[in-house]
Amino acid sequence: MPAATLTEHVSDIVLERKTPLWWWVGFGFSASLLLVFVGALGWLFFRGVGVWGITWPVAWGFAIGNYVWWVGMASGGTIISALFFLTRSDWRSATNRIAESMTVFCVACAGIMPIIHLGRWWYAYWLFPYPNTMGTWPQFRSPLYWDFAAILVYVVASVLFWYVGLIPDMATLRDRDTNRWQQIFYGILALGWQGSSRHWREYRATYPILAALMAPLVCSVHSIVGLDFAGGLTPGWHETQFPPYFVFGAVLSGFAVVLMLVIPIRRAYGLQHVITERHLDILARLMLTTSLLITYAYGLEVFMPFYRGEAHELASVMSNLSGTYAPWYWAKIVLNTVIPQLLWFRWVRFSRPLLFIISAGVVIGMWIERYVIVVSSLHRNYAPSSWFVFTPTFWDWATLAGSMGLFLTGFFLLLRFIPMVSMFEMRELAARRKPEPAE
Amino acid sequence: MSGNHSSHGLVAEFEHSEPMLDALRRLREAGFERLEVYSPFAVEGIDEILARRRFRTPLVVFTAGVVGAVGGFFVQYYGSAIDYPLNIGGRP
Amino acid sequence: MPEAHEFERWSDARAYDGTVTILQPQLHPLWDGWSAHELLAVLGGEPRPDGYAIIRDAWKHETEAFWIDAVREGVVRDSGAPPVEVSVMAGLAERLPPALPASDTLTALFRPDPWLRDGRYANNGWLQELPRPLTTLTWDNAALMAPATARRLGLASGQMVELETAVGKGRAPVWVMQGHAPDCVTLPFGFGRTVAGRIGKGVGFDAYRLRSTAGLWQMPGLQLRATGEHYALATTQHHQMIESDEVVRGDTLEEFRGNPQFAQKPEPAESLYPPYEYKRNAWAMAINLNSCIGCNACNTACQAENNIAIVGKEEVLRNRQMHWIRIDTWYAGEADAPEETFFQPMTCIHCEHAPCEVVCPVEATVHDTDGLNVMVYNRCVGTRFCSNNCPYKVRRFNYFNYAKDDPRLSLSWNPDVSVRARGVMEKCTYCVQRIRNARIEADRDQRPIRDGDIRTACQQACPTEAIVFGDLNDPDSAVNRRKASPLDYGVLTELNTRPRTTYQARLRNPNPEIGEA
Repeated sequence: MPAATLTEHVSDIVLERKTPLWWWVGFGFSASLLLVFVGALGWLFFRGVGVWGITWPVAWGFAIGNYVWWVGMASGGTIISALFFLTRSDWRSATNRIAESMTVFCVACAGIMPIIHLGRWWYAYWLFPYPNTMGTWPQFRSPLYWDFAAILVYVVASVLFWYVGLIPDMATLRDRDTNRWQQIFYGILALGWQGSSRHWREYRATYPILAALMAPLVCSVHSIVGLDFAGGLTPGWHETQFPPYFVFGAVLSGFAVVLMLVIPIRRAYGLQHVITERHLDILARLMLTTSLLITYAYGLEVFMPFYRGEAHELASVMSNLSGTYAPWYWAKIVLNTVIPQLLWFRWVRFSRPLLFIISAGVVIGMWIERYVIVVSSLHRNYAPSSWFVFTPTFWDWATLAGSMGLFLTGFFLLLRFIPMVSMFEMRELAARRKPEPAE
Repeated sequence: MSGNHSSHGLVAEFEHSEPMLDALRRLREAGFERLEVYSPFAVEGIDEILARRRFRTPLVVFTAGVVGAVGGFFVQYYGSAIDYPLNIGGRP
Repeated sequence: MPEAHEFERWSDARAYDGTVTILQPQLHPLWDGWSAHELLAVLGGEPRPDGYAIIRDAWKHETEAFWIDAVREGVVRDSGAPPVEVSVMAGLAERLPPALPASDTLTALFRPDPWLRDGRYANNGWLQELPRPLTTLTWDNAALMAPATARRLGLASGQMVELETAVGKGRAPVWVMQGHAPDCVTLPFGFGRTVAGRIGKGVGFDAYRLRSTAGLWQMPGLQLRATGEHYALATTQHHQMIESDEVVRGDTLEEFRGNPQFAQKPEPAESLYPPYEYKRNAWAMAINLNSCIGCNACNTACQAENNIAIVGKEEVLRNRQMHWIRIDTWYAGEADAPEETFFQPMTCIHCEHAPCEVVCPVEATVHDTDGLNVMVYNRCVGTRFCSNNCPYKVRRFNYFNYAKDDPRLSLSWNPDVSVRARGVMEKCTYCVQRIRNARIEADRDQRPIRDGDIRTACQQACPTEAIVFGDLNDPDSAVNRRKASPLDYGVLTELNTRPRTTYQARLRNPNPEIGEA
């Protein structure tokens, strides 16, 4: 598509076109879920963390599973934006705005979860190393502390990265806009971007640096999330493969979410010639690759206890395969490992409904994987007299659904007010490909 | 250009980047210093033609990174070993 | 009508050997109460009873000198009953009632609840929440029966049944109890009170309805009908079969003689870190599994000493009971017919390499210079990773504001121990408040702490002296003597936790003539 009409098309979505009905419906639904979230959090803060199903010995439940799930999905966006920028993959430009925006809100939801799950969340700031009257410092050896640092960095870096990538497009909107208030709004966000060669120079210095920081950040953040569990001695958690296992899982769920967002958006906004079937094909292949990686990790998870023969690990694995949580375990295997193998077939990759369903299955399967990891190892641990089955309460589900409301509300707002395709990058692609038409 | 006021500058609009780069090169060779290009996307080659200084941003970032890393380790060492050492699980 | 306290009334009593004692009051009745004698006198028609006159009258057959001596000394000397010569009657075996044949009929066995007794303590929250021995039931009684009987009747734990004896009817939940005798059902009485106070009202089912003087302790011919309803019974231990010999170790005396080191397993001794020196005191505990009878007195003592809140049945159903020490009941053998029962008190082990300390992000649990794993309540933010990382699962979390919701008098809390807020983790502290008090006194007297100066609450309450607490750095301490035994072992030491609380393995000496029983 020629560059000028692309810009028109994308910016018109934000500026000119009347907000479509589906947006209002979606936004209304998300906002009501957000209200559920607020209600669930309010009740949680009032009554205490006991409104959830967590207990002794399963002291972590949905909240930590949710946190890992959200942070995992956030990573997919970062991989597309950052890693594939560094590899100079051109196809990334069509989807990277959606991916980064998804990352920002996933990371917001992820960051909330570990705070609200604290027994005394109002003291969460004690995890920050500041000199205080108690003379104490955080306990740096704890994986939870590494987690805090990692998430803090990830949040700041993701927002920065997303925002810096957004500035030229904000300037475009400011320049194209006719409404005075909108001009001011986008003008402030554009930070005075003029598109001069000086500006582009700074941009081209900054953005690759940010990308070079973000790409390894995904691996390190998710390795640390994995160490949250691997740093504990519970059988089923204490596995050295958890850092890469979590990275694989995170990237898999990230790609799945990007697909789940990209497929409806391109249809709703008529961006089929910008985000083409080739893009979907690539994303599907990436999802297949990461599914194979996680399959390997699942295989190791089962193989190693048998190889080592340690009784408690074996009991943990057997409990997963055929115990109380076996249905959940096998559901995760089917959704994350078996069904994505359909993506070997070209006709599946090019069928958008199927792609969407497979991605949704992966997203759900990855949540189940985190739930099984958290709960099943804790319920069968080294002290048999403490074995107890975790049952979630209504408030567990409400918090989970509500966090989805937070994400969706934020994303819908972004859909409305921010261009969903990175216009300047697409322009650059189009110019480079002349006289061939850009895909 | 009108004859009544002094001209502050000249703006030229190009459809494609190659003619623009060409013109830029010729202007530069002709001795014009205060040249600026406004483009809808980053164009390769402008910086070389305009002979701009090297980027300083990467150096700043690198320094910040090193300071951050050293600072981080220092905070941990200071907090755990100097200021308030505690026996945490038998580990110093 | 208030009853006069024992210190407010005249009475007399006999000791277990028959020695007479005259009880005299210490003070006038504070609330105008009457003694039981006075009440009976009124019921017998005396309008103005006098407790002193009643008792003096009962002893009027003795001399005045006798009376004055008895009241002054408290006991009457040589009034004990003389020993009597007895012998077993001849032909006893024929006179015994015949053993009940195994049949389709069930026998109801009435027993007092171990904590509530006849029901008098039903309003005591501590006793309601204290796990009953073997079943670990709390806040309820149940019809206990053997697994074979339950299978025969098609029942499982938690199913409601209708009970009927010759005397009355009732409904009760069933509990399948390993090791219970077949074809009989134990019905603990003491529950089901309708007027007992806020805590005791309406808890459990009333077994008195089914009981009569004709069969005070057992009554054959119990009818039992399943109703199909389910009733949630709150227990504190859900898995009682021994999985491996890591946690509980025991063997026969024969085996021990052959292999005295049977309780010792290889432990890791290496560490990446230099060992920490405990120069002053090194507190440790030794628990003898041969002595523990599972009475749970330590549990209640700990609850009293350390301001542990009760949480109520709903929370116990969610496994959130707050007891710092728990008695784990273990069965060895088959689930249907276990051969042996072990009782193991489990508190915080105060590991020298505590896994809980390493994972707390805010330094809320650290090690002190005496080797105690201390819990800093005001620093805890409630991440609960310490509970997840404790392999012994001895940490308890305040999921709600249990201390605030606990219906006790505010003056009844122990002032030496903090009351924990919502969202804070807690666990056994080796009664650190007692350690501190002993240290203060020892420092004041400028002497070291003597062995036996500090007795933890659980140690103090234990009737069999199974628990011993003391200083490892004192070579003569009782705890060191216990730990020198070859039976001494630590639980889960392969995790390199270096536990301070160790157990002495159980030895059985079964009579070969009886067989393994």
